[in-house]
Amino acid sequence: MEVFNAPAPDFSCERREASTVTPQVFSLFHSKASYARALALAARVVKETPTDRAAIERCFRLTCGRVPGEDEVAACLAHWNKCQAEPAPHRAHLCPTAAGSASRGHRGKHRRKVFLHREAARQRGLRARLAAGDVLAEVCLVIFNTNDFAYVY
Amino acid sequence: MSPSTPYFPCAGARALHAPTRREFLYGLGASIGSLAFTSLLRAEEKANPLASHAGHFPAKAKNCIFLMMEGGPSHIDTFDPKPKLAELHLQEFVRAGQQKSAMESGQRYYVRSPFAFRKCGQSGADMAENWQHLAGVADDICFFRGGQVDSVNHPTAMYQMNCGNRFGGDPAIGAWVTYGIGSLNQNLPGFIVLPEVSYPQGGAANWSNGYLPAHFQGTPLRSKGSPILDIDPPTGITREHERANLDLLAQLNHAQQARHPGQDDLAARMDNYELAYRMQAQVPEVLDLSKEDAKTRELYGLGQDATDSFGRKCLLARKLVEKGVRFVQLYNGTWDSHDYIERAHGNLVRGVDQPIAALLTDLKQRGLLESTLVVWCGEFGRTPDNGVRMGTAYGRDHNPKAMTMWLAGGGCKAGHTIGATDELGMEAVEGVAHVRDFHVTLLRLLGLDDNKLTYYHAGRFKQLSQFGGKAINGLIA
Repeated sequence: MEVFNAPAPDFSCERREASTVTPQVFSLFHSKASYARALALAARVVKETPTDRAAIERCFRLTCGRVPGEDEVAACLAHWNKCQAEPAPHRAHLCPTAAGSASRGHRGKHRRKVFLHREAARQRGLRARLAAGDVLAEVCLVIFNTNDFAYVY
Repeated sequence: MSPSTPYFPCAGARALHAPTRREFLYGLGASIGSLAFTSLLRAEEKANPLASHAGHFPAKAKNCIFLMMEGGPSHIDTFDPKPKLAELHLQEFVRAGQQKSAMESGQRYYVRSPFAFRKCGQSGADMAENWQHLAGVADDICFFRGGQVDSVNHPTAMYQMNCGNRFGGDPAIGAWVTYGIGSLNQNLPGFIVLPEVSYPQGGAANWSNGYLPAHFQGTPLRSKGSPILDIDPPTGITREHERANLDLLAQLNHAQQARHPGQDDLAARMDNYELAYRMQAQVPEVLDLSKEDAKTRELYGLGQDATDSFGRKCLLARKLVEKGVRFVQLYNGTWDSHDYIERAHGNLVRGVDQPIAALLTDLKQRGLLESTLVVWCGEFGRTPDNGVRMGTAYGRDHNPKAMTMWLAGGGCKAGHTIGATDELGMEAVEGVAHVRDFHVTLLRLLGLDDNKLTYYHAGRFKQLSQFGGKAINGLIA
């Protein structure tokens, strides 16, 4: 809150100052808090939508309350693909799906094997989309930083 | 963040897009000639607003370091000795009824200064003896004892000293200066503020851009811990990746800007992302004081309990100015010593004496003092008397009628003391000048004409001095 002029506790503050300074950029673009929200949005959106295009559109609906223009969708899709193509996973240490899931359920070796097999088959599609969601978080982070989202008219 | 402040466009510069009712009515007066003028303005607007450009006069000062002693330092106990007070000590003082402050209560009595004074340097400048280090650079300083302000309360007096207007909401001096002559370094903000952990009374409005475009507002650096939070991207994020993210951001923002043209907040916000990207490369090096040699660190008093905090600020200010940052404002205090002036002012002077002397010495040895205007002041001075608060505590009240400010470097009249207060230090009586004249003088020293440095807002051209002032020629070499 400090970089957004949180008032000091020792004086009354009848009005908060609006400001636009570079330390705010760093907070909004680099902080764990921002990225956590971007991950959460991405995870929600990939679960709710069947295709990449629909995911981007859903992002804009949820953040800016509008349907994105064709050029905006194209730009976001291109960025998403570009990030996916990059060799090392971004922010892998922060991503829940990329970090791998811990084993759960334990009813004997065989049953566990069957369970995992079925589970894998069932979730294959979703899992792929969740991994894609980690990368989509990069797009979400950018959307959170747009003037459109940050300013209300 | 909130939408931009209500904005009344200059000569209909923005009226051609998405006109509001007010803009439409305003635009009715426009002729073909003004249309051409409008397009000229538009072209100018697209240029980098922080690019360095010439002022109105040739000037020695290129940069300014403004040392703001928040709370109101006592001129009587620092640079303006009043021996008469020793005679009157503890005698009852009766007020004429003017300038009563909210802090005033009960019976009042004169208080002598607990500090002894001596003459310093070739110029024989008056300084209390506890200014041990500053005495060594006395001849580089121009003292001004004629200053007066209008407000007896802190936030309003702070706003007036910083922005010219007691009610706040106007641009700060640093905003006016960067608006007037831009900044020399495009990889750092042009106007940087080094506040205390707790912001001064009046808060961030003390370094506001006011009605000027948002590019000119002061950027505060934190005084404890990392100066800028999260300046480094998380591990695993490469500069190329950051660039790609920014490119997408710019693409999305451009689409939105087309829908809301002329919103300077939005434009400034976009520019800030690009500045942030450039800053990442330069800022860690500038902010890292550990690379300074031991001699320099010792000069500024780094590592010493009393001087470390303000010493860091002064050293950082020197580095920023060296890198071409136009205006740096440092905060110290609070100097609001209503009680126990000996202990309170004693500690405050101990905290800033060595760092400020080091700053002047360091600027001088690097050949930067000529081109850097250093300003020292508070928002007002203090009274020769005190009210009875919890017994006899030897403090001082607020005094807008008398104060000491000083300048160094940047073409000021070093080695002189200008103006005088009465024999009690109650009121300026010689070379009296309102704060607006002081502002005009600062701008003049930086090559700017207050009457020409204007911005059209709310139906008239506004300026730092509010409605014009007169340069104090005695302060200019």
